[in-house]
Amino acid sequence: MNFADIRFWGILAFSLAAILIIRAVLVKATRPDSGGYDRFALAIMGLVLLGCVSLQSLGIFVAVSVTTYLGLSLILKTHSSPERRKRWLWLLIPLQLSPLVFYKYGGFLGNEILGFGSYSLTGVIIPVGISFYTFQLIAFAVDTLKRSQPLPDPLTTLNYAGFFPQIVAGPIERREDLLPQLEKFCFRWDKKAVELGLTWIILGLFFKRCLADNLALMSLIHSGTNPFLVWLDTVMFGFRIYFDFCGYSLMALGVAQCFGIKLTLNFRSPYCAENIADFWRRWHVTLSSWFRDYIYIPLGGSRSGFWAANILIVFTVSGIWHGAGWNFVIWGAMHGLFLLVYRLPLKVRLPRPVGFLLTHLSVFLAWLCFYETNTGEVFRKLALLLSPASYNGSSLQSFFTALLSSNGFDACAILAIVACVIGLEMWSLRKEGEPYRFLRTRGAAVVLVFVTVILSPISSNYFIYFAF
Amino acid sequence: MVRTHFNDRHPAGLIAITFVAVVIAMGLSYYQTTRWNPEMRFWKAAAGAKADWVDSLRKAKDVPVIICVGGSATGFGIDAEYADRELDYRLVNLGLHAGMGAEALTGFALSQARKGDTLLVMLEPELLIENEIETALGVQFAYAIGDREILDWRSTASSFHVTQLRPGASHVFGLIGKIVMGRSLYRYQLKDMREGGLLTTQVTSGIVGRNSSPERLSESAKELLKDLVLIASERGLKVAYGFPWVYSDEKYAELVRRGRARLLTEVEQIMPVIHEEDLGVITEKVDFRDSPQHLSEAAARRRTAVLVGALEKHPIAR
Repeated sequence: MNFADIRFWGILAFSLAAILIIRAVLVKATRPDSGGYDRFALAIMGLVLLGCVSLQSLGIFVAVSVTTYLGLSLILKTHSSPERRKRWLWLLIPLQLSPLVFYKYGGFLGNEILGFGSYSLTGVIIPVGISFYTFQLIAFAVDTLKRSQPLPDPLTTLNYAGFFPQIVAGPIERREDLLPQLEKFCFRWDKKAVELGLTWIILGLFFKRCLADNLALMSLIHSGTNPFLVWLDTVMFGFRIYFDFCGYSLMALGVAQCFGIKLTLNFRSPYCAENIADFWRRWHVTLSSWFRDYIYIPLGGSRSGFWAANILIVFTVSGIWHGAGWNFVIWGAMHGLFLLVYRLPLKVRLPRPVGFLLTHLSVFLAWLCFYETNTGEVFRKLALLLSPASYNGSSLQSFFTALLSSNGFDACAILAIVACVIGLEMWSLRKEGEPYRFLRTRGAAVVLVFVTVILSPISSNYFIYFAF
Repeated sequence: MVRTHFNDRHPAGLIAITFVAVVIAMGLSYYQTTRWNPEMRFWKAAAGAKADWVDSLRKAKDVPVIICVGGSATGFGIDAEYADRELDYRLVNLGLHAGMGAEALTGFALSQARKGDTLLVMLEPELLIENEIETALGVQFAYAIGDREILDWRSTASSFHVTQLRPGASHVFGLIGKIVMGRSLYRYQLKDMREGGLLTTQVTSGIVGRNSSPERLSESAKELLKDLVLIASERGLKVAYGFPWVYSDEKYAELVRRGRARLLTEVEQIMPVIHEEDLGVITEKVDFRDSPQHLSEAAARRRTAVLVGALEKHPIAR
């Protein structure tokens, strides 16, 4: 489900053509109402597309979905009391989580926590989208049992768990948002929906192919002895991961919209955030709200006397969700600490520009832990960046020398485009209250298509969040 | 209630206008990469001049020629005119840009070869460890010279090239930077190319010698070399491999030679190889210009003489 790969669009077009031909020839002839067929075909198309990515991923997805559905059916059939049903979540959730823990955290737990040393899962690849659909299905199980909501039919559940635009990297949708739409799903040509979807797809492709892929290509990646260059790498990575993941999310939104399904906007221009709490309301919205609703609030939330510990727990778990490594734990813990500092009842109120600057310095500083996977290097680079003595004349001189190289010039040029895009997002937010409005007009779409075709690199990088 | 967090306004007619924008952008990209790009213009003209040299050799004396195939290491390393004039040996220097990839470089050489000719593959070792043997620059070159068959000489070749006929940000920004700074749009000039196709340059940059060498052929390179042997035999061509010369500091020279020796052993399992003293690893920096693989004009003559000597002793020349 790599939207930046032309093969995805080829398989999608082929699947769609096959579905519509069968529908026109066989289904319409026998039954005027083709809703059941459409939902069945959507499920098969999702499974085929996932199978084309990896058969192992398909098998694990089916196993997690079937376990969830059978578990819920059994609990609902055998227990009528809501309290008793809720207790069964203690068994069902670990079952849902077990493939994720095995594939994603097996090596880390074995080596780093249990100290097996040479324990490895060599050759085992993390199944595509496992973190996303596992969390979505956990939310589904909790909502079904805790809020006593009815269990939909198996086909709708399969479509909910494996709706192809979002299965690989989200957004992590709630049942109340996605299920009602999927229950009514049918294939129909809606020019308006397609045109609206197209604006999201164009913007997403521009973010991914033109900005994220070029930032990846032009990253100067220097030895960590020059603080200015480490900052540059970190800033470039911070923008890269935003445009990479936001690009994917926008394309998922657009593809879904073409099929008449509305998904949640997963990013709301996080680099326009005025403080760290605001940043987390704008970055990976569906994951943040998942952590809020299914971990933070059950722990007691902000009303508990342990609110500070709750924040730290949630952010550390969020770090672990992103990857099995101490660097991700540090990244999560850093964000937890930033939020704690922000929530401290201080008497000093910082001017808005200073708050904005501090917020984004903190966010970019933390990105260092994302791209630098070696923990020793993370601490060394953090110490370098936080040491005033390292910011001297000679490091500034070598920084400018690097910028004047051809790679440096390219990096500056692409950062200039990034600055324009962030500026447009800010302007759009201020004027319209929506970050991407100005980038989704007809004129903007034409410019973005044009720029993407000309400036995107020949080879495409994988989406960073596919690894999560 | 569906959470959407955005309020859509319908941009009417977007499908058609997007399609038009894509077509125009692709058209401009095609024009830029195959016609206007100064780098491509240089290599297209260089390839034309090299092809003319083959024709002139054939016209002067209708005997088989030895075609040296490779990247710029060959372009800067073989003085075909000197070989013809001083050594009475019919060499063709088809060295172009290594970035064009093994597929296009070899395909271009095949397009110039006639029955009885010898293809002396002098692809840089770095090209033989790559899995992507077809590159965007190679595709763009094929379209620029109007000969897409140089990409299609193998049955496994990809025929979908449209996404590769685009410049990309690095190229566009690079050109803008050169225009802004008033620099030459491409580092090499046609006036620096000698008769016979030898590339020369006056640029001498602080070159850094090789401190290691690729030792194993990639699977793609193995397939390419095997296919080349097969096609060469079908067309009545002879084929062999020889290293282009490379600069290495004395300290690392043995290490580089060991790597090259291992690579040569692998190549030898597929096609005959030319064994040269020192395996083409040179420790004299003065023999090189702007890269550790670009020989000076004088060194290129020496290299040509050494190659001719090696070829004369080799069974392939008989």
